[in-house]
This record gives sequence, structure tokens and C-alpha cells, in this order.
Amino acid sequence: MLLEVEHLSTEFATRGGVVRAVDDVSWDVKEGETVALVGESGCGKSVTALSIMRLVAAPAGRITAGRVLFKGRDLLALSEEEMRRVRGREIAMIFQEPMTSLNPVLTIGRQMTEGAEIHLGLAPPASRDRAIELLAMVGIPDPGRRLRQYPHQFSGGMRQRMMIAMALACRPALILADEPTTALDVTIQAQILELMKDLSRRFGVAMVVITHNLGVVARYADRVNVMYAGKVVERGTARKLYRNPRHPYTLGLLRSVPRLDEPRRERLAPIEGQPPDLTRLPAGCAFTPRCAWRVTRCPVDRPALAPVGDGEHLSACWEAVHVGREREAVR
Amino acid sequence: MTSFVVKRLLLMIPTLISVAVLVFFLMRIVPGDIVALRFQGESSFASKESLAIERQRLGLDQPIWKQFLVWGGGLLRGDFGTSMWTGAPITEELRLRFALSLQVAVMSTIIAVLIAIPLGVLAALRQDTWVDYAVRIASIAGLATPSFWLGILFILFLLVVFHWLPPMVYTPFWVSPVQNLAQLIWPALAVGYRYSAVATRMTRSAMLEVLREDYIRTARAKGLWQQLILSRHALKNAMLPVLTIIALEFAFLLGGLVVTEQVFNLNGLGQLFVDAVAHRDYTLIQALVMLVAFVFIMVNFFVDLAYALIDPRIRYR
Repeated sequence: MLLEVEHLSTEFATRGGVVRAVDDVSWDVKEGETVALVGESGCGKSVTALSIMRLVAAPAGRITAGRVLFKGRDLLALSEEEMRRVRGREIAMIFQEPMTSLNPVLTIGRQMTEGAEIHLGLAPPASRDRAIELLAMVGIPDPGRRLRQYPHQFSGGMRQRMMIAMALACRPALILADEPTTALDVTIQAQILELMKDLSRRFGVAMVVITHNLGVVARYADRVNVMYAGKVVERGTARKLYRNPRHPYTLGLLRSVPRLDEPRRERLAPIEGQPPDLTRLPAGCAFTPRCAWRVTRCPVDRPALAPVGDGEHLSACWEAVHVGREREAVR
Repeated sequence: MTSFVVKRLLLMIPTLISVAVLVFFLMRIVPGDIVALRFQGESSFASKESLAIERQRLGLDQPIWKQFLVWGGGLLRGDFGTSMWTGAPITEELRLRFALSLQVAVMSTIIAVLIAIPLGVLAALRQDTWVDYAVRIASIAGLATPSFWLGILFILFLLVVFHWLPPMVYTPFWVSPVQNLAQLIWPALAVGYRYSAVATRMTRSAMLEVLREDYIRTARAKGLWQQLILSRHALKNAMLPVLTIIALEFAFLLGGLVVTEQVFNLNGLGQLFVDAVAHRDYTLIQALVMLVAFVFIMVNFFVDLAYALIDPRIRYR
């Protein structure tokens, strides 16, 4: 295993009370694998990634429990200086907003080269050559000239390409991509995802893709973790999860996305209701109020992530065996 | 960029003309002209005729537009004319005082920047800790302390503790730097401390804002050192609002240090301003206002240039 997240919990102190954004979450990533974290806004997927990097904004945010084993080392136990050497060097991160995530007053070159200069000790000319090579690799024409430009002179898609190139600068073993395509046009999204998939294969980089877009998941991820209210509610290979979802939330997500490979339904089925208030979660399953499969024990008794079918497919639902497409009519 | 500079320089001309018109006519609206003030004191017996003669001598009997043209023509030749009160050439008078005021302003600014930026950054980094509170108290104290009073304290302190007084006679820097600095460092410190207060607060809040930006998180995710994140990624972005405050304050310092100048026995522009207004010394007031306006305009111009240099998104057309 390259990365093992074990019983990770991250809390935020807010005015309304303590929010447990990530609640006892465990998942892992193998070498070279692409794993997706899926869920709606506020389900804790971004906070999970930031927790791995230990970039949760202190003092409000705090990792309260768990371990993050990267190549067998617990990142949460490292000193700040040791952690700094992991960031960018071994685990790189790509952020959602390529507009605000790049420094407006520094050149593209400056922002691309500093990582390699610090982590690999490259001299400026060498890191510059490397930056040019990387920019060319992510499909930015005339990279030599582009290096001297500023982020505002790049289009959104180019900025995201540049972020990807920047993440690759030190040849990390793992890239955490937090909603890498959300801010982009649909056509550009596909290009960026193809690019990321291609590069991850080429360099054997493992990727964690955080998204709310199941289309992305289906195409690009090997395995998927579906998160709801700070917890992983279903895990499995992308194929299984897509074909045979075993958690009502996953099913709801899938049914709310239009599909081209199936006959057109009259209308999409949104998931009714609102995501729960994280400051006061019920004792039982947090999805209960929105769930069509709920049974009497759901509001009081929280189901653990348990195997359904083979051992690779897990669902945290008492009714996991019943949840599925075939039940649509019953609903 | 070049066209921006040229355009801005050309735009200064109408601004300066407007200032000239305003100061010229406003001063003449103020009741009591210089002749009246000089000859009609409490026990004055000056006759109407002698007043008229004096007015004629000063050219005040001419139609006002003609006076303006005469003065404006002089300005174009770089000639401020002579003081109506003392008869001395104004350019001469201003040169020394301007050099002195400029030096105090520059020194105060340097001191203020040296205090404000490190303290502001520190306060932002240690937000809501005792460091932040200490910086806050220091800067609020600075705002609440008139610099002339602080100046008096300095003098008293030097006198009581070191039995030494700063020189009270001005020596130009190029004559004796030591003598010059020994005199001017005290007013510069007193003014600079007060002036740093606003800049410190500004630096702190600008820094806090920048540190919350996404690109700072990106920089941290790259594994940069905290120091590098601050100096390379944060400070440059945080400097824009601070620069504006510092520049405007600088321009104010040139003519605004009336009492501090008196405390340290400095013949700067501030006292001259007050005297000129009190005497209705039209020509001198006009010259001073034009000078300060010019400095203001130049400072603004340089701030705009600096903005463009710091922030590449700003490109002036």
C-alpha cells in the first residue's frame, strides 16, 4: 500500500459548534492506482485530502484521531519540518480553483520552479528546463515564453494544466487532486482528465481524485470511496459501484446524473432533502432522513462499512442487500 | 507602459493649473489682504492713500485676472516671485526649507516602514496572541501620541539621562552628516513612530487577508519554507494597500509638521505655511501650495507605477 488512511477524524470549531468534517474514515491507495473520493459539497472529501497534507487551517481545524500511513510512515506523527519535505516532494496537490490557487504576482516560471529548487536542489537553469519540459508535456505551446507570463495571462484550462505540471515537478508518488475540473468548461474538463490519466500512467503516479462528478469517477478511477456526512458509506471498484450500487446515497447520486448509454428517462431524480447539519448528527445513519430504504433501526443504529457480495465491495447500510436498481419500481 | 507614463505626466499639467487657479482665487476671497493686515493694526494711522500706494507697489491694484497672468507667467519660468511680506525671493526661501522638510519626511518614512512592516507581519502571524496585542497597544499608543509631545519627551530624556541636547541649528547633510543626523533623527523618530502606527495596522490586516488566500495554501502544499512563503508569496501581495498609506502620509509630512518643527527648532515648510497664511502673504502661500501639490501628484504617480510593477494584472493604458 502506498497510502493508508486509518480512522482519520478531523474537526472544525465553528460558531455553531464542533463540526466533525471527517469522521473515523479509513481508505487506502495502492501504488500507481487512481482512487476517487466522491460526495456532495461539505461531505468531507476535501478536508480528508487537506488532512493528509496536514494543511487543515489551524486553529479552527484540527485532526483529532487516526493515522495516515504513507509508505509505512505515519504522516500525522512527523514534525512540521519532516512534513514539509513530504509536501510537494512525495505527495503533491492540485487544487480546485486554478484562478485563486496561483499567486497573481509571481510568474508561471517562478511558481513552477520553486518546488524542484527546494526539494531536489536543482539550480535555477535546470529547474527552468524541467519546467519547460513539463509545460510541453501538459500541452502548453511555446512553454519558454509562457514561463515568463503571469497566471492572469493563462486561460482556465491552461492554468489547470500548469497546476498539473507543477504537481509533477518533483515526481511525487501520489497526487491529490481536489475537484481538478470543477471550475472548467465541460470540453476542457475531459481534456484535463485525459491528461491526468495519461500522465499518471506514464509516471506511475498514484492519484486521489476528489469529485462530485460520477462521470469522472466511472472513467478515470480504479476504486471509489463514496462519502456522506464525513463518513465513507460505500467503497468498491468503479465498475462495481456504477453497475451495482449498494448504498442508497450512491444510488441517488447515480440517478441524478443524465446518462447517454441508457434510454432516456423522463426526468432526473434528485436526492430529496438537504445534507445533514454536521454539528448535530443523529446517532444512527446520517442519510436516514433522505433515504427511501430506511428501516426502523436506521435513525438510532449506525451501520458499519461491511462487505456486500465479494470482499472488495463494502457498504454502510443495513439494507445493502436490497438496495439496487431492481428496487426502483418498488420506490 | 511608456504611453501610460507619458499620459500621466501630461495629465499633471491640467491638475497643476487647477491647483494654481484654486489657490490664487481662494486666497483672494479670504477677507483682509496683506496690506490691510500690515498697516491696520490696533493703533494704525495709515491713511487710505498710503494703503493704495502699498497695494500699487505689490501689484494688488491690478485687475485680478491680470495678477493671475503675471504670477502664472512667473511660474512657467520657474520663478515664484518675492514674498509680499518680507520682500525676499521665494525660491531662495523655499530651497533650504524644502530640503529640510524633505529630509525629515524621508527619514520618518524609512523609520515608519522599518517599524511597521516587520511588526505588522509579526502581528498577523501571531494573530490573537500576546505578540499581536503588544503590537496593537504599541500602534494605538502611537496614534494617540502627538509627535511633538513625543519630541519633547525625547529632548527631556536626552537632557536628563545623557546631559546632551541635539543641535538646534540646522547643518545641511553634505556639510556634516553627523551633525545633521544628530539633529534630525529625533524629529524623524517621533514622527516616524506615530506614522508607523497606521502602516502597522494596515500591514497586519493586509497580511491576514493574504494569508487566507488559496495561493498561500498552494505554496504550503508545495512544501516551501514558511519564511519563503511569507517573503515571496505573501508580502508582495500584502504591500499594495500599505504602499498607498505610506505614500499619502509621506506627502502630508512635507508640509504638515508645524508643531514638531517648532519643538526641534527646525525651519521647515510647516511653520512657513502657517506664517504665510497668517500674513496673507499671497505669493508665498501660492508657492507653498504649488510645491506641496506637485509633491502629492508626483508621489501618487510613483505609487501608480509601483502598483503596476508589483501587480502584473495592473497594466495601464
